[in-house]
Amino acid sequence: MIKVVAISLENEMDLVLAHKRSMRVAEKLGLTIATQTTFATAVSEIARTVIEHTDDGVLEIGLEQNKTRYSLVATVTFDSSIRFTNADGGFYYAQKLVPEFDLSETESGNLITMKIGLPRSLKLDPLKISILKKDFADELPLNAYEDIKQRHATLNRLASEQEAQLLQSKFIDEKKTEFISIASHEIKTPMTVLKAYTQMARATKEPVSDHLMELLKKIDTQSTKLMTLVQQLLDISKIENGNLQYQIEPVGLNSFLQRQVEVMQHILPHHTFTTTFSADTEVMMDELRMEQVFANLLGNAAKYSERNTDITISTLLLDDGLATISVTDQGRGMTAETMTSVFDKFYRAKDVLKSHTGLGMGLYITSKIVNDHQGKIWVQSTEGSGSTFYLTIPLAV
Amino acid sequence: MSKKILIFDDDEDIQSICTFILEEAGWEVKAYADCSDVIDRIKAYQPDVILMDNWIPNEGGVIATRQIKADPVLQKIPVVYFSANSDIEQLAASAGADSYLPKPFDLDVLTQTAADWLNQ
Repeated sequence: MIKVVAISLENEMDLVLAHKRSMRVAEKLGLTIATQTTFATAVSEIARTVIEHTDDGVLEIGLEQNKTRYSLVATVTFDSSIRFTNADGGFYYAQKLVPEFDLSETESGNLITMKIGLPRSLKLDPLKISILKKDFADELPLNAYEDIKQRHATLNRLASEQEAQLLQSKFIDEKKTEFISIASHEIKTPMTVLKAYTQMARATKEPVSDHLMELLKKIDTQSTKLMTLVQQLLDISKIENGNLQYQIEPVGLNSFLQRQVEVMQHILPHHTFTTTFSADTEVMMDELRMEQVFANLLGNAAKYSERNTDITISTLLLDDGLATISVTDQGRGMTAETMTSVFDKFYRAKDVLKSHTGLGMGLYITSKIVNDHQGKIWVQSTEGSGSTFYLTIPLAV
Repeated sequence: MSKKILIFDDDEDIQSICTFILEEAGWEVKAYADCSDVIDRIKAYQPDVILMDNWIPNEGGVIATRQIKADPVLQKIPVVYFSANSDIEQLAASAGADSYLPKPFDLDVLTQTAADWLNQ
């Protein structure tokens, strides 16, 4: 069937639409008023019978071509569990009105087809039919109800299109995460080998020149950096998917910080790390994740300050169930604008873009880890005279 | 008689690094690149500790470890799961491994982990 009009049959107001639209199609085809009325009445009778039983019927009006002859056709589909008998007045009456009437079951439900053969004198051809279709597509709503119904249908279509887009972007996101996970695994395996061989070479008992030893040390340092980057990428992908997991246990704070300082002092020999601890206490933390936090904070403190300057790590216990830890450097500091954005993902301050490398992942991950520990992190800084990062961790009870 | 370590890892370099380091530490080491006939191989070699990679041909590390842990005789041999997969902890737990070692690992940590299990 060449569809011209479709109306969903939901309530009595659709009955009015069904009648008016049937009349209009028959009229535009050039049928007599008597035939227009007959067709429209048959369609309305069926529509009313369907609406009495269900609100998910659909009426379609169009044309069917059989060799050189055309028929005006109305079809109504509705729920297959509904059975009409001749006791349904409208159903009985409609059969009498149209020359061809058929009730059949299809995959999508019951189907009533009503047909009226069109006289050759109407001289229908594909062009005329396409003009007719276009006229109906462009026709203004018959009444306020149809207007609202059309707007409603448009909104529904937009909503389902948006839903489909959302699903699609979720799917792409999952693929991206899967890719990052596989890629980082594939990178880590050769990195394991590279790091191990470097370590073996550095530990060799065979005679090695100082120069070669220095080169090996550089390879080791750079491959550690590369590993950290891969791990950060993986962490970000986990954060986005809410998959960062923690094993939170009571840990002695001062000895933990002391270990971090010793490790970092070894890696960053050109800065002096000093500690001022208050009374020792136990805090609730995932030790491995917190090691990452302090490697990041102490590493940044060194990265953004001159050689041979001090970096101070202090603890402060207040009566609020939290331990506050601060990391202070004597470095370049940051602007007020940078202070507000420094924990944002991939953020890099404009003034360090060219002077210091980095991807802007470290502090984002750090702040996420601290927040996941029910702690807070913030920064105080004066441009040109250094920064202090503060973070809180809940005490073990 | 020195203690014996059996390694399942498909990466030749990882195999030779682990073999070198663990032999250096004074233990006997044997390595396989796949985990077929895992039960027969373990019975033949009688290791004191097993290092099992996650992505290894045939069944993979999880299934192979489960087979070991289901064997009434072999289940008491400690299995250290090692992988570059970031979910190694969950993988090791679901396989029933006794411990895990994330890749990349520090060579001292490798030696220390083996020593911990061998001295039990």
